[in-house]
Amino acid sequence: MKTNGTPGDANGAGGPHGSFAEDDAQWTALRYVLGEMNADETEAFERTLSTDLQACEHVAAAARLTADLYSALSTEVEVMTKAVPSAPAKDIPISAPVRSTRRGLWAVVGLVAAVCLLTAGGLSLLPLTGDNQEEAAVDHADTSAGSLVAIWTERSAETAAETPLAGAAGPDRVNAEGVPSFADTDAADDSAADSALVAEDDYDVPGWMIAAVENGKSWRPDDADTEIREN
Amino acid sequence: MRIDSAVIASLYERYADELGLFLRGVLRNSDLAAEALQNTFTKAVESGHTAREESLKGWLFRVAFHEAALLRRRGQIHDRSLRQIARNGQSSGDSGERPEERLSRSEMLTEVQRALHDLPPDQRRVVQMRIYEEKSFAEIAEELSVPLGTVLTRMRLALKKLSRQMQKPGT
Repeated sequence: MKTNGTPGDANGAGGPHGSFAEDDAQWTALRYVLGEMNADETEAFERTLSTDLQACEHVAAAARLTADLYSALSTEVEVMTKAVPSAPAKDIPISAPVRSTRRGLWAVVGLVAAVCLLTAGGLSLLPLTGDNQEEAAVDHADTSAGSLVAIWTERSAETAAETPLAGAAGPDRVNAEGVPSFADTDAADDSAADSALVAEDDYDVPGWMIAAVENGKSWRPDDADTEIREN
Repeated sequence: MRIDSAVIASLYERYADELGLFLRGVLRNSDLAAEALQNTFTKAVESGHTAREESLKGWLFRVAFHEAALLRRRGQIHDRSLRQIARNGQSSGDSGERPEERLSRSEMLTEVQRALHDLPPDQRRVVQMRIYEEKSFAEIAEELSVPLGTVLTRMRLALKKLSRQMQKPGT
């Protein structure tokens, strides 16, 4: 009589149905191949192997299944490893320093905003033939405060009389107590506040320009004084 | 009187693959399995004529198991990793595998992956942890915080599904 060779196996109970016995035999063989049997079970099963061809065939099938599963799983891992960028090396800082980056980031934001506004304003102020100047303004939007001021001065001088000043605070910007409400401030309001700092006989410099100039002076990409703190 | 070489060649072609898998399952070492397989067919050349023709396969497996037991008694097994069982199937470059065999194995691999994906996630996880990560069932039970019996049941159900899936026509 052929046995499954697993006297102590709680999962080894056979049944009258061939398929159940077959499943049980496969499971036993897999446990043997995986080394999940204790010494007694192994010894008993190996005694079976020496006489039972079907048990040998189940072991061969279990070994094949195990090898195929390992190959399939290792292939998937390889594919996923290639698809997902590898984690940064240990000798490379994982996170950039926060403080210096934050300061630089605001400066960059200010510059970008200045450039965008300049471009938008320049497009509305200049005739179409001024494309070259606009491109120059955009292409050369660097941290140079002087270039921004010069460009703005030149253009605003042409249409200063027609262009309404940005951001005089209107009555809707004041709360019930008559105090300006800062909750709704925007660039227009900022420029109105900033313009108060400028002499009356000067051009009304919009706030974004002042911010751009300040940011242009305070940060440069290659600034050696930029403090870098590592985590 | 020795068995005919043509018969030996025929036996090798029919049973070498299955015998090799059986030996890898017993020894869990591809190199030793290959050595045992070679010894088996050496014995077949020397003594195969004594076996009855209708039971040649059984005779081969008995001899193979005996050879495996000999090697194991010599204490030559050091690595019982499943990688050793799988390695022989992966190294096709220097094994003289024919192109059609490589294609067949590639198709089989695709079928296995498909069968794996069809498994319920909890069963698939157990299979992956046991087969690929080579953790014991006890370690898996501890890591997943489930009873050992649950892990065994999941693995057994997965085995049943995988076997059925891979025995379908066309696989």
